[in-house]
Amino acid sequence: MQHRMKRMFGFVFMSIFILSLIACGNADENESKEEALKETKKETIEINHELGKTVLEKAPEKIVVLEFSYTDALMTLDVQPVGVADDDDPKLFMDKVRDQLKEYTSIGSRYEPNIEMISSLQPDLIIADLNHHKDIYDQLNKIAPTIVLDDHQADYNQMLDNYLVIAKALGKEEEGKQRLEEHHQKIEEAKQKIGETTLTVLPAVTNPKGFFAHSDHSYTGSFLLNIGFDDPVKSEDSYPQLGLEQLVETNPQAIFLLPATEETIVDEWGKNPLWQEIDAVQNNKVFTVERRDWALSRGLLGSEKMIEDIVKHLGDQ
Amino acid sequence: MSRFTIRKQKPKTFLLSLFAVIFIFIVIGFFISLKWGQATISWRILYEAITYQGQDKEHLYIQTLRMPRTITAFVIGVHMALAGLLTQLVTRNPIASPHIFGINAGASLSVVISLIVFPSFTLTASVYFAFIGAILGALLVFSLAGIQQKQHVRLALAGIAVHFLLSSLTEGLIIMNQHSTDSMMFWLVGAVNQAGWQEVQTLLPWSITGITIFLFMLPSFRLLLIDDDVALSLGQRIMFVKLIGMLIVILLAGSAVATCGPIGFVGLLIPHVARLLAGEKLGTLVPLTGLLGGLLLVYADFFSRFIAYPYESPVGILTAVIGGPFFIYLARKKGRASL
Repeated sequence: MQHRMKRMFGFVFMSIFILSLIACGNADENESKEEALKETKKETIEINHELGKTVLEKAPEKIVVLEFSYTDALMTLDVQPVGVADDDDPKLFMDKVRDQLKEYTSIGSRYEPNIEMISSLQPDLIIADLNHHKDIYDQLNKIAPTIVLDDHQADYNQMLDNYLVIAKALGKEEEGKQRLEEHHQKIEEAKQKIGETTLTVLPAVTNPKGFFAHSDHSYTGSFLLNIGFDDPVKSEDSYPQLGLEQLVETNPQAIFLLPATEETIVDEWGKNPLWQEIDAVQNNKVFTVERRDWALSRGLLGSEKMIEDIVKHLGDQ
Repeated sequence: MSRFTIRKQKPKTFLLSLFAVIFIFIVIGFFISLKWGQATISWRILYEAITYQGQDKEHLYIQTLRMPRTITAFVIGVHMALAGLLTQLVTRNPIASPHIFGINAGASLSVVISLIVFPSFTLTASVYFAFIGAILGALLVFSLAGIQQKQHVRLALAGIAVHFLLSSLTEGLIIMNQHSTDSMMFWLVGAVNQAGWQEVQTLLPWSITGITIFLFMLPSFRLLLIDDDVALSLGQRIMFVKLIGMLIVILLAGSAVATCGPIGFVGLLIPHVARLLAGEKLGTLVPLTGLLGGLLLVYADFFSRFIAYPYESPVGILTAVIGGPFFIYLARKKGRASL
């Protein structure tokens, strides 16, 4: 009997001991879970973009960008991309970007980036363009978290919004806001130097076969509107192609040519007496500027260079 | 039987009035093309411009832009239609045309190559490039299908295969060089909107050469209407005639493609319409085909200005919209006939 009691007691004791151990263990686990949750809350970055929401565990380090404007944004935030879709031509970067850009791998054309190459770089963030990369979004997303922004068709203000999204994705939201503040200041200062902005100003990309006006909906056109000029080509289409007759009818008071090739259709048009009928030609206000500064580097650095050019050519003399 | 004879040769009065009507429509086409565009122009200014009594902006629109553009459209139409007719005669294949036979695609490919490799190339130089491409395209098709008669399906398949091969190469080149070739997409559908007097000057010598040889060879081309075996037994050098025929096709189609890009379906559509109207006799069929081709393109160019007004659309879109369904109709009709 005594022996039996002893065994019972031992059993109960053991049970209590084990139960308490389990309980303790559970308590420990709960605590560590909570801690972990706190940590991830601090670190994860949530980005809403054109094709959904992307969550990053931590600030990305290896970044692949598929547009020149994204490289521009990265430079202002002092982040180096591992891969850039540069159309296989580093000359297409604006000087300021090229100077800051260190080693990177070219992943080919912006329109048809090399997916295998992107994959081999093992990025932890890809920044893509809505127009050009919508179709390969799933493929890109399998390689790394991908955010898609509407860049190609974006106007100036949209670009500024995109800039903040990129800054946030890089975990540099505060720096981004600061740099944007700085940008606004620079633009304001330059505006003072320009003075009167009553002209109609038309930026246009030219090549041997065509003259592509940048309309009021394009990035360059909307930038000109933003600083007070008027873009004479009003169109939902960002880059409509104009004929000479239409250009003469549009009659801009200043033209900024952004040639894509050495010889362009303007060489031909210059020989036509109609060319002389354009106000910009009569006022000697046809300027040639770098397409890589104006039309490709659609970012803070690009637009700062753009207003620098405008001050130089159209500022109060 | 009676229907057969009517189709063979229509009465003279009918033909005369037919040519008169076409001529009137061409004149009207020219006038409306000169009158309406992006800028509004009054009839008075139009009159002053075409009699060269003014040098104002509006006069210059007509004199330096709309006039050469309309002439180019007309000439290109003539080229494409005649090239189409001749391809159909040489291959004895009713669905043949330079477009379907890799000739346009070959010319396009070499023009795009020349624009990428030598961006400073002049228009005249790219015409020669187009000829080389057109010849290579044609050679490729005939080396695949052979030149014997009654190989319709084989020839059409080879032609379409080569057409797609060359077109895909062209598109690949354009994608790889997109930053310098943006507007080539516009050109690839075929457009006359940028044509100036320079284009007219480049085109005309080839038109004159091509059409002169065509008319000169007309009696020999009649042989192409009969069986190869019969012609051979008559002691005719049928291969030589065919060779000259293809040479003219290359001259006409190549120079057209070099100036305005590959404008599709004109070469396919027009010869059939002409045959329907005037019968098989080459003496009337050839001029009628040429005029109808010019007519179609002048009107297509005019309407293409208003598809996305005030912006231009390539004229090739319109000809494809008209020609595509017609091609399907033709293929179905012929398919049934051969069954």
